[in-house]
Amino acid sequence: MQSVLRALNRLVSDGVILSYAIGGAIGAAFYIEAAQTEDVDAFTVLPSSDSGLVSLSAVYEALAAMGGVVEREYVRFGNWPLQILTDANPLIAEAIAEAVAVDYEGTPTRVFRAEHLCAVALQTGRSKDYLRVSMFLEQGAVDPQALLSLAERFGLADRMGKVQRGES
Amino acid sequence: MREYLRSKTWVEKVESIERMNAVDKIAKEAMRKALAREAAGGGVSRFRDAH
Repeated sequence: MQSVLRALNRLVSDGVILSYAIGGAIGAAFYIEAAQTEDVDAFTVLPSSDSGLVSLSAVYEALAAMGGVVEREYVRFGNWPLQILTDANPLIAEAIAEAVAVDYEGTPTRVFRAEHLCAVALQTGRSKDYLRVSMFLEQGAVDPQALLSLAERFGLADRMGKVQRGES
Repeated sequence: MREYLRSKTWVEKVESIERMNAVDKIAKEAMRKALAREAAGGGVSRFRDAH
């Protein structure tokens, strides 16, 4: 995991990406009981291009130059396939901007806030994402009122209601 | 549960996911080999024998 985080930090220091934050199951494990996952989701902000189009090719090339092995949409470092995702919508952009700085065995990194992890899971909307939100609520790892407020702001209140009613 | 969660750091939880993945990989490989043996006619299927 450390090699993944070091590679992400180097992408930032080399200017390949502007910033990043860890989301998904690995991000969630910062707050709640660990759930199995096979990859690391890194949400990134890319520098703006002249064309306005988003391309991850420079990111993949940089990661490969650092020793990462490109496998389909992942870049593997050791045991961990890294998936690079972009700030594809306003919720994810806010989640990256407001991510918390943390430390992984001496390596600095950033993780989505609990509310954003849950809101992004609601937005993604698969069964396992709803289950993750339930776990945050059951384990008292997220402020329900703050999550509801965020969900309302991003049009996810119906989905939040389903999770709270156990209908998801 | 709360005590358990407080007692485990992020690093410990990520390491436990790594162990789960390693076990999963071994189990999948064992299953793949068993199915390959079965397909080659060299194995015995409990499911087939049960019927």
